[in-house]
Amino acid sequence: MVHDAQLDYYGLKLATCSSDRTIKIFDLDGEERREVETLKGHEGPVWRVDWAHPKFGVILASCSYDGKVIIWKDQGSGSSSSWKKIKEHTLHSASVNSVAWGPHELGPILACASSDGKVSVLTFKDDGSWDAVVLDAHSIGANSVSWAPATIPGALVQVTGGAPNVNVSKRFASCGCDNLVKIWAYSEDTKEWKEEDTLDGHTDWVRDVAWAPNFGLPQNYLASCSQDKTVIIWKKNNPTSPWVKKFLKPEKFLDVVWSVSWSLSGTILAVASGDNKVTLWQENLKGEWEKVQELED
Amino acid sequence: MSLFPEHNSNAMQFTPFTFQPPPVDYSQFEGLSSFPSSKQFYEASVLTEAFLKEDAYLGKGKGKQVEEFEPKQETQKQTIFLNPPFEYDSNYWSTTNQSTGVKFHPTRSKDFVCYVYGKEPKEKVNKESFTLDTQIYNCSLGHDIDSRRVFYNEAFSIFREAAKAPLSKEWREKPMREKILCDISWNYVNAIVNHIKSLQENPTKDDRIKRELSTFRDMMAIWELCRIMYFIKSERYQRLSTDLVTWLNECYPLGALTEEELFEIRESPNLRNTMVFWSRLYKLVLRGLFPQAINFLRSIIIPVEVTSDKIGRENIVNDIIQSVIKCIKSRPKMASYDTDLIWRNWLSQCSQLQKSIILNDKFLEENFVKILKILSGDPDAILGKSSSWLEGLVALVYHKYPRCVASDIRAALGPVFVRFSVHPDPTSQALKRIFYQRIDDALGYCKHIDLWLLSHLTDLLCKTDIDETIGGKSLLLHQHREGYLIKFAEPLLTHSTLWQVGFKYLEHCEKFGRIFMEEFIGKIPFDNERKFEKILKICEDNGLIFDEKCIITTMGTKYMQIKRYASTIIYYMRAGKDESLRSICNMFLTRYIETGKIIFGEVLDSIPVDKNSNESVNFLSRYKLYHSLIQDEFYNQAAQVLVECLRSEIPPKEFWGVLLFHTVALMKLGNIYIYIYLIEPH
Repeated sequence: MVHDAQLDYYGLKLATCSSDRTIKIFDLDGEERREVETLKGHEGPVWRVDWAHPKFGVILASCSYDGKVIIWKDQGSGSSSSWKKIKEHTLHSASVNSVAWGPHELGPILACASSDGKVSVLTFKDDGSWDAVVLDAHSIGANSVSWAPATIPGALVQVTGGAPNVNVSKRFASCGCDNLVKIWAYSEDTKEWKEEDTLDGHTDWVRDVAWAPNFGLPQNYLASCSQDKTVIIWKKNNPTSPWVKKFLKPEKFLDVVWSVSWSLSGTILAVASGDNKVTLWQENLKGEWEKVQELED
Repeated sequence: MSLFPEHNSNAMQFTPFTFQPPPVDYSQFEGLSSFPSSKQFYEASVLTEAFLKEDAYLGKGKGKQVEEFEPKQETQKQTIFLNPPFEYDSNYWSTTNQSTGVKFHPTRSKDFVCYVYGKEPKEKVNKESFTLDTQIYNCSLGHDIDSRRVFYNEAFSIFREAAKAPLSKEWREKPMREKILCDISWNYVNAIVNHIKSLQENPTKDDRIKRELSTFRDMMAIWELCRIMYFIKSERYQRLSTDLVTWLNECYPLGALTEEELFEIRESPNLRNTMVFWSRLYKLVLRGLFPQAINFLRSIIIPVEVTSDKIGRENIVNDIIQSVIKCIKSRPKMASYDTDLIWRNWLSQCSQLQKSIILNDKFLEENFVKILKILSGDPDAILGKSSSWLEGLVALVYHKYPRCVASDIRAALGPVFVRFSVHPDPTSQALKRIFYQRIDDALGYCKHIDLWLLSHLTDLLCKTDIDETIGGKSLLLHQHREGYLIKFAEPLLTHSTLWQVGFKYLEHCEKFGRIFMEEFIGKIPFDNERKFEKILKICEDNGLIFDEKCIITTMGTKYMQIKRYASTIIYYMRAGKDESLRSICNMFLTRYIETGKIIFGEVLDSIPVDKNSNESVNFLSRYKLYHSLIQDEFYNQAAQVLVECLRSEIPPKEFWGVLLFHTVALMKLGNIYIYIYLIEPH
């Protein structure tokens, strides 16, 4: 069975990963889907896949129950694909549950969350080597990671006119079985990742976390969903203010909420819950979240 | 999360008002002809007329079958249905291992992927067998852009024309402003009408087409009303009431008679006594459709024979009908509103005629009197016979305040809303607020109708003097303009053919456009040089230097993937990817060490290299030159180039030995001298 489906940067390729330990790559053409490759290399169910920015090549990261993260690269020429394993990250001692490439402005950088309670950050260096940092993140296990947008919050209103690679924000959020969401920030001074904030709001395992795209507006939004059947929207009004939590809706969802995803402009939040429902939410002018659409079979 | 400033919720409230008859100024009767005179616009009108003459009567009307007072669907949350539906087995589904997952599309703001996935690994579930799930769905929240492509293209060219009219106050004070705005407005309406026509010609009349038709009709109604109410501020403009009636008849034409009404007419021995007949006649008079009304009246003139017993009575009725027809015909036209006197005289004639009508048949008497009352602007008669607030309001303006200006209409709204309620659908609410001249609130409702309407109407309204003329209240139009335009343009940015149009819209958003460009330009997929260059042009035109370099790098990486190294080097040089260029050059040198073959010779032939080029590429070029010189036996020159290569220290250290080997080989020739000062740094 499928565990994840991920479109590439342009939405022209789809990668799915499955319990059969494989990853399938599809070419998309309108409604048509054509399977082009099956990647084999993991020794357990593959949980998540994530595409890197195309400027780094056709690169896919996958993570698995076998505790490994594999970076795959299509080295084929022309229309024929030729996928090769270019890196195997084996520093985790338990299932790796999530992988996410950072914003391309940060270069090829990958965050991984594992059931061993650790979060690792892999950085591809110019000399072709990989640098790995492993952080103690969530006791019992880390479930998901999500990168903050590279644009500095408030860049839009400040109208700095600077290129987005100037003073980019290097942050990500992780969530785990300690019911917490944690914010990690990289300090250019100490060259270290540090836990910047701990967001305590859920009463059961936090299953997924998603940092909203930010078009340079001062606010930062983060969505987290949990085994406790709730979704929390965390909002930070400016870089110095604290994170403020708000439940997406006052009452609980009918089942565990498994995943959250923001639209491209960060205005719509999609929520998938175990009761076979996918609902879409939007913040109104009063700052309340309203359900805008629902998906049914 | 919103780009837009906080909306003042109080602005949605109505301010109290008192009803006062508007001051009527009869001093200037020459109106500015403003309503579109194009045949195209009136084609619908021609249809309506034909319908009223014959078809309506016979019940074969082709006009719009929906009256404006017909309840509309309220804005509601939609449900997207997955197609094909996923196989839902409650025993297997929630109690075991499956759930739904969702991911938004990386480049399209309204699209997302929804899929069925397993929560636990196969090992944990301990099922003997499991199936590979292929239930992955592409879903979209947005409407189908492709079906509007022609419309969007046409509308964009008008938008670009409109953009030539600056937003400055100086421009807004120019006398030609009104004409230019009306022309632009008319062009927009023309584009809407063209799209309506194309929808009508579409053979598939599915729900989507019907919804689209309804939306575009609403858009036309709102746009035209705004034009009438806001775009023309000239003192000479005295056609407001006439334009409103025309607008009503164009946008909300009379519907066809129902089957029951037709039956009543067919079965009636005498139309004069038929309720349906009079009801229809009232409508025609209310809506200023006088030729049709006269035809109706003529149809109940009963020719009488001299010998008939009823001669006296019938002649009286026929005389009254003729008098009413005469009264309608003599109603002063706008052009002849030379003086107050003409209008007063005509009202006086109407009044006298009313008083003179005394019939035994009270039903007939009452109907004739009411028709005349409507003509002379009696509010009770007008509103009593109107079927909706819109019909009542326009009829009241047309018959009672024929020379009023836009700001006077507010006063006429009081009695209308005492009698009628307004349906909560966004279009009705928007129209109501346009009449109230609460344009911010009206646009708030347009948001629920269509983003194209909202953004383009706001843009054009920003070019009027509206903010100075409506009660001195600070309008949010200018603050919202960019936000609306960006919201409209966003789905276009990632559309396969309209993406350039999307970016052009952003170019007209001075404050926020650039940041959206930065966010989206890199997401445009390109599979050929032409499209790539178009994307770069947008970057270049808008100073998106970082994004330009990023896109060039992506192109270089694409060529790298297919081993077209010359193109890769060219693009990486353009992007300033020094490290990547060094890696490529080192790769070539390594291959030379391994094979002894210069495989980069042809690659470098197609790359323009000069002293300002990347140092690694420059080195490779010099090294290639060295080999060429050796081949051509220009040893001294070769020695000089070799020394340059040695001194550059650009190649990896493992290559230095190769260079030294070349040096020794050259020195062995005997007559080649490599001086120490050439090698040592100065």
